[in-house]
Amino acid sequence: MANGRAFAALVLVVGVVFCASSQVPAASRGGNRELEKVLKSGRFGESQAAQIERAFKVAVDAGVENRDALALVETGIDGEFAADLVVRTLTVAAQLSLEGLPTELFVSKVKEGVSKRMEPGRIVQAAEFRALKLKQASNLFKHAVLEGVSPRDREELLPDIAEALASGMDEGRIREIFLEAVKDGDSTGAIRRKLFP
Amino acid sequence: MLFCEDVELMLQDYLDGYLLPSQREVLEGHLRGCQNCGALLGGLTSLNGRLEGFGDVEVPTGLSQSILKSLPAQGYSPPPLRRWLVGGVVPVLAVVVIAAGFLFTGRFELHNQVASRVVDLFVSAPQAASVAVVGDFNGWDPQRTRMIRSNHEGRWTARLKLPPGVHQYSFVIDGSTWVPDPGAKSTLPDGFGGLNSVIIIDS
Repeated sequence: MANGRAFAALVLVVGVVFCASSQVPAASRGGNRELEKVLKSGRFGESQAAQIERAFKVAVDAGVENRDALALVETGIDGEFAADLVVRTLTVAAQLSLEGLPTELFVSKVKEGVSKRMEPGRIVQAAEFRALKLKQASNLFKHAVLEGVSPRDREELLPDIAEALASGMDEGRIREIFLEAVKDGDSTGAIRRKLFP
Repeated sequence: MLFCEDVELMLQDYLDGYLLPSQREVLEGHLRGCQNCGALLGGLTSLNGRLEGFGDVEVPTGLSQSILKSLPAQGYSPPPLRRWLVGGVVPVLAVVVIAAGFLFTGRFELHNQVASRVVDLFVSAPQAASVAVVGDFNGWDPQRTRMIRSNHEGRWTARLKLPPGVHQYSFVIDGSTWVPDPGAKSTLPDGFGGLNSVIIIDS
């Protein structure tokens, strides 16, 4: 009997802790502590840091992975971005996430630009161009699904279609690739090889 | 130029015969001149020898039948305390650990175990003091994947494990000169006025 009560109490405590933890947004838990640490390593003033913190929270609440949002802030600091540019990258990531688009390509382009020591404005421009192409890729993929392409391949193929578009491939050719894929039963690999001949 | 920490990472592959001939040559050159790494190799070789010395054991025919026959006819029933532990405490502890993990990290991470492929990259840079390969797979960080100079003609190599997908990469020579892979089948404009090499890994 006593064992049963103890067991019930334990389950209740675990349940309460679990429910409470899932109600608190990630940004206000571990994420914020890490963000504070990252922001301290930068040379932002108090109001700029607060601006970045707000944009970070919005991004995480919009569904951007905590680590991706942190990477954008860290990379921005490494690349000596002004605070408004860091905010801009977080906002674009939030927009992508809200539209159900992957953020990896955008984050990767920012990292690439910083690693290549490009000028911050140019980095953000190049990354935003990829974000734009992701939206275009998403529309193209919707049409492709109606033609018979499996929707399961969406997450895998969207960044590839976006890169193909960014490299200058026109929408018509991409539509053709999808039609051929449906007709010939092409694998994801075969589609990729056609996107990057 | 190969450092002891690189050698430490390569030794098991060396013993298992996974290194490229050029990598083996460089590694053996380092081993000839480095006592510490030589001793490490000696230790690993003797451990391998001892493990191989155990040999295979033949299972006698009818072993499983004789074990089954010797078991009591009634099903095994653990003592009540053990039953309570297994049925109640262990699952609850598991839930507590998962909840704590969620609380501290803010999310559950379930990593897809996708099959990665091993890829060997080469570049010729006879005058270079260091070459790194950077790409979307290592966060474009030149510190993360250093290439190994594999011969006197200045051929640099790197072995990567890449997940399926399209990967963009480039070589960084002496920390500042970015060059696309001359052996890549495809290149893409990087958006900064340069080119990235493209490698496609099939799933």
